[in-house]
Amino acid sequence: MRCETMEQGLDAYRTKGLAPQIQAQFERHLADCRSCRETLARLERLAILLGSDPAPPVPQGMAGRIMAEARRQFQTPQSVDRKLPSLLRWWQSLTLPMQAAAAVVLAVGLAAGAWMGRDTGQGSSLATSTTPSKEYSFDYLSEAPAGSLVDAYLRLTLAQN
Amino acid sequence: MQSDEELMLSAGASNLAAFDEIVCRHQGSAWNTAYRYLGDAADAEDIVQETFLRLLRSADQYRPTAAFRTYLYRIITRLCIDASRKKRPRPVADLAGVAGQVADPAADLEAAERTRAVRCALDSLPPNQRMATVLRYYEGLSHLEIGEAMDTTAKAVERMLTRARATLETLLGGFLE
Repeated sequence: MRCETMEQGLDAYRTKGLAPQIQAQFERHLADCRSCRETLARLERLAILLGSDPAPPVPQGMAGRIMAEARRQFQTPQSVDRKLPSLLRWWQSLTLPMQAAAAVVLAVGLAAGAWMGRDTGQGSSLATSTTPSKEYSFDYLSEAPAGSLVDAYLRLTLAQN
Repeated sequence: MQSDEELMLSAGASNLAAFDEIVCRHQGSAWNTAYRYLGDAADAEDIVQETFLRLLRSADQYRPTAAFRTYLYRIITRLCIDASRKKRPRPVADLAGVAGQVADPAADLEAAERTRAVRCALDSLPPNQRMATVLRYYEGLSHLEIGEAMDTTAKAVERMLTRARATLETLLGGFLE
């Protein structure tokens, strides 16, 4: 086994986290390699130093406070969180950067939609210059169908005004 | 005794007694991880509480496809890293009082100095490296388990830890002689 390979696995070897067969290969290499033994010793010294920082005791009553909050949120009839729509729960499950990315995508989508739709809006305002009944040739349903005497009278009246 | 996974399934069926058991079993490691990472007791307790409440919120959707511990560490890891990105790391002055944790007055000063150096060195690591170090050295997780908790591969964890160790060895050189 090469020293480079050893270095990658020495941390796992230190905590006996390798498969027994590989652990044995490491032991054989270490018996012959002074450099890898020194690396291992360095890893162990660091682990001991980090571990010398005393473990902080769990704050008194922490579990009780967690349970009180859990009961407050989940056992009241008005519990909101349990009834959140799945979309909102999905949103809450996202990390902050993911929420920001989703918000940007949504904003870009809305902006693109608004930009593409602006022509449609202008087009419809032009279309109001004529009536739907004329545009679709349904004017024969009106009281003054095209070519009738009433139509001719109306045209004349409008031209005079 | 019920397994963690069985308790989670019960909690998902609105059994708060099962959830209480989960909290009692895992509050120690959750607290240890959050406190070691954030270095502030109040922030750490907030994160632990939020972790367990998120667990309960998602309990009805929980499927025991992975070990419960991995699921727990995944939540706490995300919350801790997010919290540390929002907040500036604690100033060194906040570490005052470390000396009071040591019982033997003769060793008090030296131990306090060492503890202070260790915590400052940990604080100086980038968030991902710091979390990998906490999970490896204080929670005893394997590279694979850390990878699952941090949503990355064991190889990436190995690289993170190698870089973290290089920084720690430089900063703590005097204590490693």
